[in-house]
Amino acid sequence: MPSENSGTARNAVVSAQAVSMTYHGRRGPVNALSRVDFNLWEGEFVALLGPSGCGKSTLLNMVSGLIMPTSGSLTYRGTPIDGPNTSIGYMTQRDSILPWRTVSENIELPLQIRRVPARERREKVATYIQMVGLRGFENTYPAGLSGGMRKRVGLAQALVYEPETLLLDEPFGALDAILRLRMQAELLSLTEKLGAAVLFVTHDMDEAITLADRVVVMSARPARIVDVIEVDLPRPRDLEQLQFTAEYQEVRRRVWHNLGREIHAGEKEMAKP
Amino acid sequence: MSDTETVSRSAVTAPDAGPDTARPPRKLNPKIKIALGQIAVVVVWLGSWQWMSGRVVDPFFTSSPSAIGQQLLEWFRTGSIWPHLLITLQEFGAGLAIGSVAGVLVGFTLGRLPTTAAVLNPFVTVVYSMPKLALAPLFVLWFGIGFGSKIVLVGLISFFLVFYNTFTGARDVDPLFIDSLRIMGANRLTIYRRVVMPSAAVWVMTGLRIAVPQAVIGAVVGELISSNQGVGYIIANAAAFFNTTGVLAGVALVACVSVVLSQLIITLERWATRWKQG
Repeated sequence: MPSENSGTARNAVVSAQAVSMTYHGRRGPVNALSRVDFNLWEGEFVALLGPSGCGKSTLLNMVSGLIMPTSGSLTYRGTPIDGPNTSIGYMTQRDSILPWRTVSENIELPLQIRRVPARERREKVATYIQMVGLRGFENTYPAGLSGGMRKRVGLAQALVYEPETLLLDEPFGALDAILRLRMQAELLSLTEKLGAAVLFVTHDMDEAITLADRVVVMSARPARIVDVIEVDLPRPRDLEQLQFTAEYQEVRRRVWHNLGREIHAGEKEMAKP
Repeated sequence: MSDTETVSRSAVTAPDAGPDTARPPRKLNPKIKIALGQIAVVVVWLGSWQWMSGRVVDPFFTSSPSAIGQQLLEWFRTGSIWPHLLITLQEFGAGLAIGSVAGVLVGFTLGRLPTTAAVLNPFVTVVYSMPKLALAPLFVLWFGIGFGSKIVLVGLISFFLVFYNTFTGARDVDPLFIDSLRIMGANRLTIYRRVVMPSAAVWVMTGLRIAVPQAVIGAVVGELISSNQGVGYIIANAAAFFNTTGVLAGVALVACVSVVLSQLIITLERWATRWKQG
């Protein structure tokens, strides 16, 4: 793993050592994750990139404490994760916003649970509704929203209590290109402001490179870490211009090389009888 | 019964046009079309009954819509039906209230205790499948011919319908919602209040909606079997004198009451689950 420990005074928020995950499917044991070694440093933005269904979400579920690794050690700030991890904000791949609560009630929920005073709650909710572009939909129930809008409610819900670590599972998958670019920019400026560490799952290579400090390329199932690519692009980044720079193209070539190999491996796997 | 169903269903499917789907106007509003069709059914049905009565069949056996209407008018003009109607409604109300509160409580409790629920499951299924109306004579034996036996019958019927639905609802909660709240730092009580209860409320309301007409039937059948008051008693009394008109007028009255109560509960249900409409 290149230059994992180059930062001298950096602390690992999440630390995984030889983490494997096997679960029992209908046709016997399924190897979802195989010996993953990985650190997420304070304030770092890491993109997990890999083919669909390769176990990236499994890794997030383990960091959130919802499932336990079958073997290996997984710690959060040095403490083994053995229950729901309340230091994180987690936006799952599937909608987890409550259908019987309006947009603002949903965003308010984590603040209510954390007993934030009502006035502060209202201010925060208003700020984040503005941020995800849902002004005018405060009192709409999720059933009245499009898929992309529900995703943005989920994002606001994960951000609103400003956790020190964010787990985002393909948060912008359902958005159109323009909105996506805007939300990416908002996310970057916010995480930079908060100093939050981000673990960002995506299967979009360009999204991974434009946002992340490091891109972790994962293989087809059982997921292994194939390569870790440092993205040495300066911050703050101009997301619109970034893709046209030579440095960007160079990083992209390297990621593509690795990912392409994995896609072929995945196809061979599928072609097996 | 089937009338209630049609009414509720057409009412539920009607507001399907979303806020942003402006459709070009059609020749005939489907709602009006449906209403016209329903009026036509009533006219043909009652008209042919009225015409055949006295011409094809002896009104002693079938009575006629006009005679039944007159009987109903008579009851309400003299006010003689009110005490009976009130008694039936009281039996219905008390039985439904006790039965459904107990059903909700037991349903939620067993929903939280999966092992206990698994132990009790076959027995619950047996009792649920039992025709509880058939127990009415026993209830008269145990609780007398007055109020008590009817409340027990109505309560038992409502209990099982509400309990079964609440229980299913308490276990049907999407685990993703629960996980999501655990990460937000919610304790079990908060998860129960914010996720399990609102999620199961849909089922509770369904249970109530099914229970209402059944509870009306329970109250009336209880009275039919043995009593000295209530609409069921009126029906039984008329039957004893071969008064077809009286029997059918009583039945029509019960059906009307049931439809009105069902509409009330449907309105309540729609209010409680208004989030489904977005």
